Amino acid sequence: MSSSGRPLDRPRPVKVIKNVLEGKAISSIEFLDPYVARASPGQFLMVYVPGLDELPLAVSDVDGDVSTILVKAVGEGTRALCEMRVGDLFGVRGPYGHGFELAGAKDMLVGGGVGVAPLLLLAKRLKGIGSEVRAIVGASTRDDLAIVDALAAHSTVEVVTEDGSAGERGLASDKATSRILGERFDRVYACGPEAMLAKLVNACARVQVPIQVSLERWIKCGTGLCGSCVLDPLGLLVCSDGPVFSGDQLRQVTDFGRFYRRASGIKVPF
Amino acid sequence: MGNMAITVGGLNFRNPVLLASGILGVSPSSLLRVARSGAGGVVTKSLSLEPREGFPNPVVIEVEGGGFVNAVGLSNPGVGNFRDELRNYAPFPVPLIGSIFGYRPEEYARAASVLSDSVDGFELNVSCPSVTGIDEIGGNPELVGDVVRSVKEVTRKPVFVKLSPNVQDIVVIGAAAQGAGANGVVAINTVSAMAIDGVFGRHILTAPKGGLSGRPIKAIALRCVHELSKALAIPVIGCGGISSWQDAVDMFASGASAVQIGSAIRYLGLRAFGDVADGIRRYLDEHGYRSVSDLMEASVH
Repeated sequence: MSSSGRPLDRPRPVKVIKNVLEGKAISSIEFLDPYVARASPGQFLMVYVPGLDELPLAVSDVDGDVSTILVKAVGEGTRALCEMRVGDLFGVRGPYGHGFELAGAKDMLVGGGVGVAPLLLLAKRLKGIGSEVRAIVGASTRDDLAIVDALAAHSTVEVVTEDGSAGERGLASDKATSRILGERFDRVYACGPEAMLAKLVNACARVQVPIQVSLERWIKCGTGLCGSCVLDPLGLLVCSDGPVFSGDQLRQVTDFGRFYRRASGIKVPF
Repeated sequence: MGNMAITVGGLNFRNPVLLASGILGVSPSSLLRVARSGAGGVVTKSLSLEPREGFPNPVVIEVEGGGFVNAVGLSNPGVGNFRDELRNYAPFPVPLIGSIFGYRPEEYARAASVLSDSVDGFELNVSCPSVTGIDEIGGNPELVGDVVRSVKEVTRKPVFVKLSPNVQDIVVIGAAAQGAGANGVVAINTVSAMAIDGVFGRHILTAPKGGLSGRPIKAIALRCVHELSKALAIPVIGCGGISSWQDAVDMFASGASAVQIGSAIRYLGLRAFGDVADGIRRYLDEHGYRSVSDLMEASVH
């Protein structure tokens, strides 16, 4: 424990208690950690894959003492994590960052790809405060969809795939945009590719609906020290000011939807 | 009212509480945010001629007692990219010090030439514990002298050398920097350390050697600042474990002309700068000091 009552910023050993394959290369991994079990929707963890990597991952669900993360195998570290078996050891630190603010009586959730992860815990908590929750989940193909059934326990869910292999053919951003423009929502919450998020922020601005989106950047420390996840021009940090930002904040962020930084800090277009 | 403004090595700071290198210094935007939050000056993350990715995660862990062991591995966008981004943020509201490093004196000089028109001064990083080849420079007085001379040849901006505590005699290195024309020294860089975890049965940091910063190193920093300030004619900027105005006053009493804050941001956020500066100001007033320089001149023997 640090003097402030939070756990130290170092990987706490946890064991896989369940690993469920979602789609083709996406795993839903359950574990026990008392701090993560108190995470709020939209907060993230730094997940330590021993000897390979440490990755920022959203807390996708909390059920009593059991916490869940959703991992897509895209590199060496994520692949090793996806392949972990019950009893295997990994590490977590956090939860970190500012999550979603829960408000609104009729809310829309939009998830793109594995970005759907934080929306499950969010939907559960929104339903818990009596919100009517509608979700649109998009992915490239049927194999890239995850936790749709779990989400459906707390929300209506419409599925969109780019190739039409599940649900409607199309883009989640287009479907959500027409909904946002055509129907009144109290709040929109979204997580996924930044091009999708940028479209949604614009749509919400047109109809003056508050939106909160969760961003992804290269995160190293996760605690507001190193600055690798900075957003220009205000110097906002995804790890500690975010990862959830409001549409109002993002309208001042020139990087939003346009630029990100690599591990070196070099700024490049999406 | 005590005067908080100070001049150190030719740079004029509105207050003596500066941002340490390595923290929030990847982009001009975050440095500007730190400046606006009350820092008297800011130091960039260490920049090299070419971009560097650094080590894969994990690169930092917290240790008991308010410290961090980091082995980021000098990741940076490269001095040219940083300079280009800086154009969108000029003029900077407080002195901007460019931290630079290289493997050879010529690399420092070339990095300094790229940045010279865009910054107010330089801090030479000669001692990153996690990177073989850089750490060694800071332990070798001849090399430190060569690095300082090569940079001084290409810039008229003030040059500070950030000194490593991981040496037999820090005064020997400080004297070499001074002899080569450095305008000041910064003490200290991180203390060589490791993060070994018994449960995982391995090194946590990829490097695996890292540098310890934060509260646990304050006493080491005070000792180094004290030794240097007694032995050198050039100013010493104190860095290491400062998280309160009391820590800063301890630094001034040890002979520091200014202080740098880094790790404490984890605990205090960006209000660290304003809080520490306000505390120093109150201390000056309550004890009848006219300026920070008076406080420093009353340093203990």
